[in-house]
Amino acid sequence: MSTDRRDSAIAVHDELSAEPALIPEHIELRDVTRDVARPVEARPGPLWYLAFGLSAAALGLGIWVVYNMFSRGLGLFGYNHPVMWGTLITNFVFWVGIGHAGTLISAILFLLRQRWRTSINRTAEAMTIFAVICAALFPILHIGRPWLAFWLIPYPNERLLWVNFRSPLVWDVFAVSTYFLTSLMFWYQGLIPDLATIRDRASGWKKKIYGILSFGWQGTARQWNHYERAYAQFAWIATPLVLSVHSIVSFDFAVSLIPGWHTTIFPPYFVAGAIFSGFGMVLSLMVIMRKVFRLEEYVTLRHVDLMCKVTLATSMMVGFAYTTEFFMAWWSEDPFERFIFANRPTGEYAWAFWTMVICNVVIPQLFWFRRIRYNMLAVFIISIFVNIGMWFERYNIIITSLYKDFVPSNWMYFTPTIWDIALLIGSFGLFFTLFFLFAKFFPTIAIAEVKTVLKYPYRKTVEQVERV
Amino acid sequence: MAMEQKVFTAVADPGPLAVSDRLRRFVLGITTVGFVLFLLGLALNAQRAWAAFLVNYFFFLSIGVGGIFFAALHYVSGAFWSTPVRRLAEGFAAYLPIAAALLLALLAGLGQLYGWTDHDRFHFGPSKAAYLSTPFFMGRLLFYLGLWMLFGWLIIGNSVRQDRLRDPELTRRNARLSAAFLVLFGITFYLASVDLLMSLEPTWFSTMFGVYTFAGLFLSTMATLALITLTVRRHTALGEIIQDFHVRDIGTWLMAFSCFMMYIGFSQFMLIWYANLPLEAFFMIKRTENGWQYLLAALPVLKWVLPFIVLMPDAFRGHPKVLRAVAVGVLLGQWLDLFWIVYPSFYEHPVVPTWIELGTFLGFAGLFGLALLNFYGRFSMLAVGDPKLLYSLNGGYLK
Repeated sequence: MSTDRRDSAIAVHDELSAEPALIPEHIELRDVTRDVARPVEARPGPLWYLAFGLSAAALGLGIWVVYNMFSRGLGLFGYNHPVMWGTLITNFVFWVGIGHAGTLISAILFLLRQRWRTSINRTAEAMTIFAVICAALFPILHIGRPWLAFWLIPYPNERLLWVNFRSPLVWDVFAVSTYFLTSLMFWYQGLIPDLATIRDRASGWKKKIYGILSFGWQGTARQWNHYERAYAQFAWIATPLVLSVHSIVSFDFAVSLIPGWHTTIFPPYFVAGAIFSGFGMVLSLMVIMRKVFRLEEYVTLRHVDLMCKVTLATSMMVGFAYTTEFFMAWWSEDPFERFIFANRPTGEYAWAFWTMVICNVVIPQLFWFRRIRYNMLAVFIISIFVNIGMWFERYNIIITSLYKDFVPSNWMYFTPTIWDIALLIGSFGLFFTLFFLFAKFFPTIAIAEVKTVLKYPYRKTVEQVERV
Repeated sequence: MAMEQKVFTAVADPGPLAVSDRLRRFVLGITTVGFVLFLLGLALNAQRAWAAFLVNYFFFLSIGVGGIFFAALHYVSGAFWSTPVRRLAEGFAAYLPIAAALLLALLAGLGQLYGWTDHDRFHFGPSKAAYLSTPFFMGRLLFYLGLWMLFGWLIIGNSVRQDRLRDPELTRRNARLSAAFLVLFGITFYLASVDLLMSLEPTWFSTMFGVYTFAGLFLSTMATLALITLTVRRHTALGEIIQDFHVRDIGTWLMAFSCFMMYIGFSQFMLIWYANLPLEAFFMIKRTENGWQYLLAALPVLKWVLPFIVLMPDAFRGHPKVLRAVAVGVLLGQWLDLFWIVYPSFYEHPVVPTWIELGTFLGFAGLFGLALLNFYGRFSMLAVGDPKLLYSLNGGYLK
């Protein structure tokens, strides 16, 4: 073996033989605190104000649409027979899906001992919570009389009404609210030590507020012991939720008799799609955030690389699920099944179908190339395509299954109105308003967790021990 | 918790398994007895014998491909924990050439098993009739098997070559091969499941079916790996090498995938039951009537409740006796699951597995065992050249 070849073999061996360092070695414990606390402690720059202002304006637009809907009715949204589930439900499924990456990262990757999650879990979980907030609004708006939404909660009441437990729409209420509460508590638990860190560095009224928010955390061994145990328990509890929420959302469709909705693969297909879209959104946000907040040494190219790989894997699962539907429609020889699946790629909504396929299945294949995964601009652009594609996936599932009913007299071409679009923009406004507030007032990276994956302190300790 | 942990700085190659002649003769004996019983069954009740053949064929086929799947998954994800047990799983793939040969034997039973071979019974459209024709059916199944064997040969070939060459580049090459394999495996295993099992009721359809069989594949592969790991740990030098936490990780995966199995099984059944469309529901109605429902009730108990509840405490997940009992229960559940899928196509009322099923199982188990012994007897029991090995043995990923 020549020297060069031996050297390269040794290099490959070193790279593979242990988990690689996630954070550059020169980063010390105090650097983590300083760098993550910087955006929280500094005055926000003009960029933040601009972004926040735009988001708040979009949110304002959304509120105006909702006001109009309340006063004028659901007719604003282009609903008509047979398409009675339009973009409101599309948005609901879209946002619930986005909300899946956070819990996957914080719970499943924790159980799988994937330590790279420490740099991204905080932001991903925050994103989860805001996405679920956005999602939860849509069914409430969609029921037309949102002031009666509390009827969905089963409790003994003088109306002598009881919810229909056989309806997956009621299962949704439980699935989404459980998911929201668990994600919120999980996220907040992780925040407590970091909020205490911010508290210890702050002064005056800020110290008071962060003091209240951190529940008097002192970081004693006893507290950490409880914290670690609770974290592991939460991870176990949250893991089934990653699967259950979108499965139950898929039941909304799959328990029906409508071709294109009723198919048994829906639960895992929706979950894969949710993780795919969630990672798409995390990538979009992280690629920008690491730059703006100068956190490139914490959210490294390797982190982005790994997220791209998860995105690629889930993209293929989603593509696989699309294919199985076509295969089974053909296999079933059922004329209705066959019709709907022949109609999707060739009918009036072919544009929506092909947008979905190109964005979700074709474009993410670029992630096979290492050079693309390490090119932040390319990653950002592809992640935007993923977001677009996943919105169209839900559009495709909902609209193209409904618009041609079993009887041709019941056919209609659905077009979203300007209000549909304004409400979608409004939901993005809500999401980003919450997100920018989070990015300003909370540590966007889990300080305490990142400290555990640093190489430096351990090495130093070992050296000190050896010297003694 | 302070634990006494061994620190490895180097690992001695445990070498291939020393297979005693007695053991080999014993397995050969089982195989012979099993196939004699199968042939006897064939003479007495051909359809039942072929049904037993199919159940066992799919059962062992799943584990055989599952071995490659396990190795590929761990190459792609760059996992550390599985390195000391990976070679044991790779051995499962040695059964695949036998599976290919047995597929040719299945050709003789096609008429007994698959109603679509009788053109007067089903009137399919031209494309489906062409798809469900014997030559195309056998041809594509052989193609899938050939594809799996090719990838098994490439991936496992690199793996055993690394024992000698110690070239870390082979790990990278395998990661690339494994990514390609996983994509192809997903498609081909789905289609193979449709062919071998779903086409027993050729008008029935469920998009979930291939995912369901995949969940069974993963679960039974992990259970088999647990059994084999526990056995070699007790009887060979690997006992000193494979640590308790590796065994515990196998238990954890078994437990996690038992939940996945339940999730997929429940979703498929519930959606068909809820929609109650005649086109789909007849499959489940046949399997939930006349006593078949009791067998159905046993499946979630064996495949989910048992592993989930019993393996929940940390101490049980790595406990040899407990884990072995659970793994046997899971494998029984998987076998009964396939029995539940296949047999109601032919029997309105449940039949109790007798010497025909048991004999056929013994025959297949014997062949699987022979393939395994052959593999373990030829190659080192441990991926000694793997760059990840020492880190894994020292539990580096746990710290």
